[in-house]
Amino acid sequence: MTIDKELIQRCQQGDQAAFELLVKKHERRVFGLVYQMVRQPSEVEDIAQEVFTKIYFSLPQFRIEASFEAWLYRITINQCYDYLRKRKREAQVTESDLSDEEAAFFERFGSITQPRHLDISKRLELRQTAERLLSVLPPKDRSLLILKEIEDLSIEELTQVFKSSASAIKLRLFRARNHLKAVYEKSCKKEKGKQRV
Amino acid sequence: MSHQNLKGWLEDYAENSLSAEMTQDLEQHLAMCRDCQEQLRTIRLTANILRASSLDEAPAPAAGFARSVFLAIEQQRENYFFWSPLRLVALKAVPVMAVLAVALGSFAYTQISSELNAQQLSEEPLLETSLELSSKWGQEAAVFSEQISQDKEQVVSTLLEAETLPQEQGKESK
Repeated sequence: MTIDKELIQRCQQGDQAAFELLVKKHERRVFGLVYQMVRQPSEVEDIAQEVFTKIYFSLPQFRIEASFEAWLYRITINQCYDYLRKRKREAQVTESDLSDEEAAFFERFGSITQPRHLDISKRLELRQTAERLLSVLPPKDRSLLILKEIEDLSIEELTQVFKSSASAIKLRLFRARNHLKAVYEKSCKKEKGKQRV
Repeated sequence: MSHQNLKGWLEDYAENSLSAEMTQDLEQHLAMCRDCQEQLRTIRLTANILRASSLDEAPAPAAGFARSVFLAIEQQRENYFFWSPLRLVALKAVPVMAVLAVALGSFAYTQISSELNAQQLSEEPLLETSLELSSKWGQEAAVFSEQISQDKEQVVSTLLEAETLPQEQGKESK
């Protein structure tokens, strides 16, 4: 039996120390995902607290044979959706555009240029550009891409989080990626248009 | 293997989860398929954008985060346990309400359709009666117009008589 399952069983028997251990084991992961989704450092702790509170009250109904991590991701994402819905912040259309240098970085990043070789200001600039591009996507597409590319979940794991078939997940990924690429290419074209003027 | 099937392998290829044989098949296809090449480029490009968005560190949980979760749980416990049974009842009531709605809907449908049938049946004799009436009125109208034509003939003949009578009287007096 995995550590999570053992802790969950102890929690289900009313052991509060086990729940504390469970929180400590997963808090970084929840903080990371919440931050990726909402991008508001000041809100991360409150949302993460809500996530663990929900988990505490729902643990009695949790089936021990199910994947705890998938359940944790699902609750975290739903909590982020709630927050984003309340905030009702409209997606910002990318007004500032990609420079050739940034575009080249996105095209090669990971294969040629390693992020640790970049200076702090360049990292900040790239991160802000990437965030701006991602902010145009609907939260459901963004959460899928974050889990796939940042949390490194496989297609199989994504099927458990979103309770969908592998083909449905692949289709959603295909659409989300093409949407993001269209936003990226629009930003590149704008920059080229400006250069011509 | 079709293009669509091979295109469906691209996500697995990008995450290195294809078997050696499948990888070889896909790479052979990729060498000559521009559409799949473009989709693979999209997968890599979007992965790069996502990775770039996570170049900064998320805020780290404070040392007492687990304690603050317990405080939040204690604050919500009373509220949760008050509403929890009601929530359970509401959850159980949803399928019952759905079944009732379907039953009521089908009952209403059968009632309305039977009423419509009955109305159709009762409308048929009315139609017959109206047809009978119209034919009767037609006959009456024919008789009436015949009478009028006869009356007209009589009037014409009376007028003619009236015209010819003074002329005859004049002749006689001469």
